[in-house]
Amino acid sequence: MSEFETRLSDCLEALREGRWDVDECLRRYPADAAALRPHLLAAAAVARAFDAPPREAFARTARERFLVASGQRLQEAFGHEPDPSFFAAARVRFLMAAHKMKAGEREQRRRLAPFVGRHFRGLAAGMAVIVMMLSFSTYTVSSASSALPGDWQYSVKLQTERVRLALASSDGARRDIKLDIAEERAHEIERLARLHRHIGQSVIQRMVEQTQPLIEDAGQSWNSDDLARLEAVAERQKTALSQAEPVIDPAAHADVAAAVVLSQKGVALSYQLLSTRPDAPVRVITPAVPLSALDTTPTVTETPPPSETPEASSTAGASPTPSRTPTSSQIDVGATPVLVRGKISWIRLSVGHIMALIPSPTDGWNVNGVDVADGPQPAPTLVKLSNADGTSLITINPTNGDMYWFIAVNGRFDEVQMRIAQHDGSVFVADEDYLGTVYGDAAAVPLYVLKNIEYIPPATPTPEPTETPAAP
Amino acid sequence: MDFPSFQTVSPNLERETVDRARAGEQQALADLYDWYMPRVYRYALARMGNPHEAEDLTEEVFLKMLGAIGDFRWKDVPFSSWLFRIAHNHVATHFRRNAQRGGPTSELSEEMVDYRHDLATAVEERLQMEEVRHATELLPDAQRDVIALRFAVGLSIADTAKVLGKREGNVKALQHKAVARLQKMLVPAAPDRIEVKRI
Repeated sequence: MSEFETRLSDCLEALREGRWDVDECLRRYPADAAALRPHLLAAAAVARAFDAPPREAFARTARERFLVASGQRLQEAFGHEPDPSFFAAARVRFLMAAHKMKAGEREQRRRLAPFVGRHFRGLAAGMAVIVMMLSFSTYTVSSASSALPGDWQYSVKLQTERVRLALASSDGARRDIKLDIAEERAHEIERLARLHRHIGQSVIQRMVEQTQPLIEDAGQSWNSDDLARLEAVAERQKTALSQAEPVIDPAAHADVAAAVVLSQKGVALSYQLLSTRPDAPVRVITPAVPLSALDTTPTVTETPPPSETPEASSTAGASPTPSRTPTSSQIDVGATPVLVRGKISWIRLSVGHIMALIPSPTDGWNVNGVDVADGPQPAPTLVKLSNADGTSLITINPTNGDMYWFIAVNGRFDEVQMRIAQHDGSVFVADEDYLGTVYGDAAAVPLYVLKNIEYIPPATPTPEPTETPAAP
Repeated sequence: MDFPSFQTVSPNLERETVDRARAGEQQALADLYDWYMPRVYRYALARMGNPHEAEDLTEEVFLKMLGAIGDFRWKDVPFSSWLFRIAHNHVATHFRRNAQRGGPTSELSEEMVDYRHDLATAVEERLQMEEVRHATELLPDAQRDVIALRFAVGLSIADTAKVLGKREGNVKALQHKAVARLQKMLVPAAPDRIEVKRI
């Protein structure tokens, strides 16, 4: 290992341990400072990029599942019950006994309810469970918690969920559990799709049945975190359905359509309720639809600008595809509109491997740092297009066409990942219906930009023609 | 630009807690879970590239830990190295299976940057983080593993070597190659900032 590598390693170790900062490293090794600096900054950037906490909802439910599994494991390994004073012990026992309750639960409740009343129902269920525990045999609840529809433990999992609901001590706790359950249904569909396992009608119907009451219940009385969670769950369900389409039973298509409508309703309702709240959490919308599914049919009649000769076709159903080839090192923003759509004039953008249409400066949109009158200029790392009042910012990556849209909503900024190239070369885009539902007319410009982005891959070198050997 | 701080527990406390967990004390298991879950998740995120798969992997690692903690012996490796070896093996299995199936596309991770302050700055930070993550995904697998354990989890060179079953010198060499490669992809834009170099 060279001296430089040793110093770099020393610096990285000191940074990791928090003993030095980057400046201190450079001060200690002045001769190597210039070479060390970019290495240290790159390492620090990586460390920061992964300094991410897990989602709160995941952290909460995963911990609970771990505690359930640990109680089960301890019983298996040591043959004794977990410490009864332990905070999760009661729940652990209840969950472990859940599968035994299936037959007896309803009967027990009916018998006990008239005497103890609604508020004591949880206690009654708990007592019933403890009684049943006397004859309880070892059962792997931990494996049931990850069971999928079709697995033999799946009914245990569903029963466990019902027990959790029965034992919830407040409306808030009950809502939490219902949100967990609705999210778990989406998670199951994602996993089934990843495993290429068939998804039947009942799977979709169950998700709808368990999500519908949540959406009907959502209102001003909900806190912002719960509303944001409902929105995220509804969006996740819709994405999961889209990803799982190839493995969903064709007979379930009507149910899928109903589930999609329901998830859209959930998203729209929670968005509407959240949009008036200053404590609403930051929203990030990820792309959910393959590029091939993007509808490029214009919804508004396009006309060429009255005084100019259109440079590109604007026939309905086809994008006004730019005809020039971009150079990878320059950005060229057309001065002349190529078409008018609605009330907006659209001009050409050519940068890197990207050709696109963008709204013109006369409509209040400008490419940051680029003056149209100056002609081609050195390409920026990222094209940033903002509107006149600074409430919308669109970014386009000239290298791969990735597009983001940032929009100001009630004092916060939402991030919409409009178009993202995946590592396998496929491209996913934001769901048009979803954006329309949530952002209404404000989504029209970014959607039209999205539909008209054209990626031009780098030219592959033509192989040298092989010489044909002369005929003898 | 500095490193984030990595939360650790004192070796004595960790040792005592692991011993209590091995003896069957549930609270000790819960403590180990609370200490290590965020770091296992960061490792999973760094290796899997998307939060949903990172969540699945995190849960699987801790369930596996429950089943195996009885076999843990102090004489071999520290507990953290032992735990991250479980995570490392799970990742390897995942990628092997995915390679056989063709593999799903990875999703973009959700971001944690707060955009309430300033749109332009927040956008820069957001995109920078996304691109940095993307850059690490372009590293060869062995380098990516080292980067994840060193900079996402915060393990020492010695512990990273134990997780991966490599010599410390080998880990340092992989770390150097990875950082040098990342440095070529990420160029300094200002004294304390980096931006993504167009390739």
